[in-house]
Amino acid sequence: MRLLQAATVVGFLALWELFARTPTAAKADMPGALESLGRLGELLLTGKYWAALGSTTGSWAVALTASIVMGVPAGLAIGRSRKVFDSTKWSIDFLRTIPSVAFIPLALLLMGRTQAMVIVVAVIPAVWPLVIQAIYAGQQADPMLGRVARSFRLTLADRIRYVLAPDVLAFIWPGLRLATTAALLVTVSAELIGGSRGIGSEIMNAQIYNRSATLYAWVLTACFLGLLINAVLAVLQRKLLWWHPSLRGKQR
Amino acid sequence: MTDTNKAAPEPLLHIDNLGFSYGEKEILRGLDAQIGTGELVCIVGPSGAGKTTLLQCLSGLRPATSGAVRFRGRPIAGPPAEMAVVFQDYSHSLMPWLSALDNVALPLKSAGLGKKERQQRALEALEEVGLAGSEQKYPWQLSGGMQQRVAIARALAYRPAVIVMDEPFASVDAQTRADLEDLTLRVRQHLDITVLLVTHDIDEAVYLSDRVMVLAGKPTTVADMITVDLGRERDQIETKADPRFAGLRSQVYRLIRRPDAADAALAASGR
Amino acid sequence: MKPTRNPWARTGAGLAWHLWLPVLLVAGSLLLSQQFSSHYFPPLRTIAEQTWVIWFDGGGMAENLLPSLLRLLAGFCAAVVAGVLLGTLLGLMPRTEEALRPLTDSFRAIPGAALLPIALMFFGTGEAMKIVLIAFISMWPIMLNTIDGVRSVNPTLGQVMESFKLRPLDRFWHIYLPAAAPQVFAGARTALAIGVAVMVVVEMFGTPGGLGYFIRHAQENFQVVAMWTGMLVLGVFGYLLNALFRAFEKRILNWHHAMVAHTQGASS
Ligand SMILES: Nc1ncnc2c1ncn2[C@@H]1O[C@H](COP(=O)(O)OP(=O)(O)OP(=O)(O)O)[C@@H](O)[C@H]1O
Ligand SMILES: [Mg+2]
Repeated sequence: MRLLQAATVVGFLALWELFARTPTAAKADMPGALESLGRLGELLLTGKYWAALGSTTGSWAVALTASIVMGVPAGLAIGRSRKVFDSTKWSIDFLRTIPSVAFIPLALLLMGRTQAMVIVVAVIPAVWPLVIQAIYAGQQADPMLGRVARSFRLTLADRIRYVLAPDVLAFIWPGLRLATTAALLVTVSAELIGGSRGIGSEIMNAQIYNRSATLYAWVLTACFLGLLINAVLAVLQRKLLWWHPSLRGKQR
Repeated sequence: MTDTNKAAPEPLLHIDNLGFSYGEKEILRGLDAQIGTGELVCIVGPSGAGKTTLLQCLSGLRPATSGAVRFRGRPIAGPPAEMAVVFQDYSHSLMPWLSALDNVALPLKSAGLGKKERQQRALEALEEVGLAGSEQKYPWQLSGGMQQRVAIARALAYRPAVIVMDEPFASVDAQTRADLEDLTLRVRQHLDITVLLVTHDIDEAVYLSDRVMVLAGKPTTVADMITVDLGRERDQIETKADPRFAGLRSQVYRLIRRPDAADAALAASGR
Repeated sequence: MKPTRNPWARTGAGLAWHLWLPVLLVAGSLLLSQQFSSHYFPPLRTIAEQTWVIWFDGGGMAENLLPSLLRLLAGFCAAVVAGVLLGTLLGLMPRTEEALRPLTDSFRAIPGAALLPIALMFFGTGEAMKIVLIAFISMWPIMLNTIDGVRSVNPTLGQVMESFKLRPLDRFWHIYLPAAAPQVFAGARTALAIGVAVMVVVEMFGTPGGLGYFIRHAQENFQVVAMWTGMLVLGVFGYLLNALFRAFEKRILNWHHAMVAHTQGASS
């Protein structure tokens, strides 16, 4: 299967290379796979490449961390109380459906083309899935497990470590996965629209200056970054949630 | 029985030296049997003997590893159109998003029947199994016994020459079970269908069958084919009170137990 | 198990609990923005008035909202069709799916906006670019969920299809699609949110017309109030779309909801 998968990748690159030679592709100024990969290789040797990549990754990581720090406790608190849940339900339902990219122009006006602008905008879509899942966790985190813990007289630290945290994590996990992709999508969008340093603005610049091989090299970079993030999530899931019935044995 | 079979040139279903293995694991070896038109044959055997596997080979859902199954003289390759299956796992064999009626009618749609006709046939079949009035209900709104009757109705509406049933009454209460057994006998009588039914309830096998196919051994073979000469009319109380019933019952029981007894003897002598 | 108090009193109390915070928030921001309005945060009243002037009186609906809605619908529907078809095929061909996985994983990993310049080069700034990009980016969650959904069909149902000789089309419509429906809808909900985001981004870069275009244009010309009205309309747009989608989902999946309610009712 590994071999077949490798063949798929090679086949795709070959198709790309062939397609790049057609008139359609020529009109769109599309470089071949080899040229794009070659360009990516050259970029890898420049400090500018790593600075832009680091900037995007940094914005993404800060936005995600901030979303977790804000969203999870808030969601748990909301989920624990029926009254708080009822009170906040409609506000949350409304606020979370506003497309976060709508805030980019406002953020641009307020903060200019800064990394802070990108981070603020990326937090918006990332925080909601976490809040929602944390609310479920607060509502449903297995009360039976809590009773077991108490009856065995676990210490508070042990109870959090062995009982509460795994259970809550299982609830939060789907939200975390949505949050990571949403944060990355909006980070790149904000860079693209706002022009602050990062993959998004590099892509836009390459397009504006008609450097198509550079453009494709950056798109490949964005793809690899996304793949890397998904791979890390998959490893974490295997390490942390291998016991969970709905995730056991799942590949994705 | 073999005499009547000899009169016919080819039985409806001919199991010829059938063998089956899951990979290395040999389950069935050298099974031979012939089943005539209109017969009701029960297949009994211990759990894990390969009864479900055998039915899957007979109904074309699994290709045999060796030997062959012939249906009307032709080797089976894929499920024949004239055969309908009632699955052991009835709760998963019905589509939860379709009403009882639509569950019964769906195969008829695929068979190319018009909307009116399939409604008509499905309703008739549901009535036959005593579910008139529940046709708009979803499977999960029905009890286990009713779900099983929907599955039976689906097979009946398909108007097959052979119905193959895998432990159809295993998970219903005693009363429903008796009702469904009599339903099976009645339907067979009315529609003159050939029925193959797997069970591991010996009483049920003897009560229903014209002949009982007893499976035993490791790998499984046909231990015997027992003719049940209790007549076509059966009655839950009278038939079961018949001394011949008790005799047949213990005959089947001994056949199934024999390999175990042999094992035990072997183990004892080894010690 | 349920409390047997007067249902009206209960509904009233429930409504009050639901309402107080939104009311307080709106009232609070009305007051605050009146008192401390800055250039970037104009008073809510002004925004509300201008929303009326721009979007209802001035034809903003037809000029900028309708095009957005239509292209989102076109892109989203294309994504659903493509996602469900591909997902069903790949779900039924596990080996092919596994062989193609490096590609599907890569495509879904790309943060969609990164593809915008490529789409611009291929399709220009017009409608084709916008719709293709919306469809392409929002297709992936639908496809992946459809694969999982199709695989979740119980093996016994697989044998039912075989033994009763269901036609491929009947299998698709009556078995695979309904079985996968809960998962397909979950994927489509994600896809809709992604689709709206992509819609706004492509409109910001594409030809005039559309909510994204309007907001970006207002921002670039420092028409702060107009920008706010655009964000407001976009917010309501997103909210209504989501609500509509959920109502639709509930209708289509009514058997599913009824079944869940039924089985839970039986167990408790
Ligand atoms: N798909 C499979 N792959 C490998 N082994 C299998 C498979 N299905 C069944 N088996 C094995 O084959 C043997 C026979 O299984 P089968 O289901 O046919 O038995 P059965 O007689 O129907 O049992 P039961 O009375 O419990 O329904 C069992 O030992 C089982 O473990
Ligand atoms: Mg079985």
